[in-house]
Amino acid sequence: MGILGALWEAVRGAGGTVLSIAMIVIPLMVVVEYLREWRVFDRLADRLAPGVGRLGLSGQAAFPLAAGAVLGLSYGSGLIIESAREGRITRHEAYVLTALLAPCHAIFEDTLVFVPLGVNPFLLLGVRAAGAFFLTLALIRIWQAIQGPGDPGASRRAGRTSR
Amino acid sequence: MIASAQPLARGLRKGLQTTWILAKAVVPTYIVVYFLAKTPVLDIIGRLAAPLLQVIGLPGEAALPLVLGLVMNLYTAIGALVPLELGVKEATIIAVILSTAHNLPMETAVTRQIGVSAWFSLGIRLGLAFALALIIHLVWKV
Repeated sequence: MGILGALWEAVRGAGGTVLSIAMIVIPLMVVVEYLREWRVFDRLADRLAPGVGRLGLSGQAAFPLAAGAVLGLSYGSGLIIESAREGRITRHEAYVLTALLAPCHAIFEDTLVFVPLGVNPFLLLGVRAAGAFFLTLALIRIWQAIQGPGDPGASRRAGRTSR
Repeated sequence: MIASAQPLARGLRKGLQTTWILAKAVVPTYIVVYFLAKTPVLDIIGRLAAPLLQVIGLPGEAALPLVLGLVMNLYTAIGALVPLELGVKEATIIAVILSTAHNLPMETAVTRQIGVSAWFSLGIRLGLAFALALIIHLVWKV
């Protein structure tokens, strides 16, 4: 195979890789836009609100968590920064949200891009999400041990979000 | 509920934009790695990284896509990963590491804006990525 043949092989391989990712990314973006249009994230947050209490988070934190998990870290962080500035989430909650979202965000995009390599998407997302969840639980235990008894999220648990 | 066409147009536009951004990362990386794989360079990098990567069941040549993913982004890493033609177990271990920890300089800057220390977000991501990779390597018997 000459240099031109090799170059053609490389360009074809690169183009094929871009195409297989495009076939995932473009439909995904359309689905996410509809999810946003139909306010699925707000409803998801309402569903999540009781569950996140176990992680020492208030209902206020459920919306940035749901949006960041699906749309990505920059989007989730934007919402967290906004909520923190308006005093709707505490510093402790900001750390808990980061422990969850920094390792586990954009769960559809970051998972599906590995499918062309033969990776099972359910296994990949399952391992990643479980890892982030149990890591956060462990960190909460450690923080509680340091700060002594008492639930850091309790003081802000009163108001539920209805965004 | 009536499905408006606006989200469709927005989604298509964003999808095409993202594809263009990733093409700019994937195509050059893929071509460079494709030719690098034919030279001893990748071999040398691989042999240097092999003892470390062996712990989590990866061949030395996986060092390049790992570093590219950790420092840059997933698409650049995938561009470097495809020409290496790794097995499914190896690809899964790399996918777990990189989906957990990628684009670290930029994303750590983002989490700092929340008021969270850079050491905290870097530590949990790299620590978790390594721990999960080790678990998969030990549990997954080919």
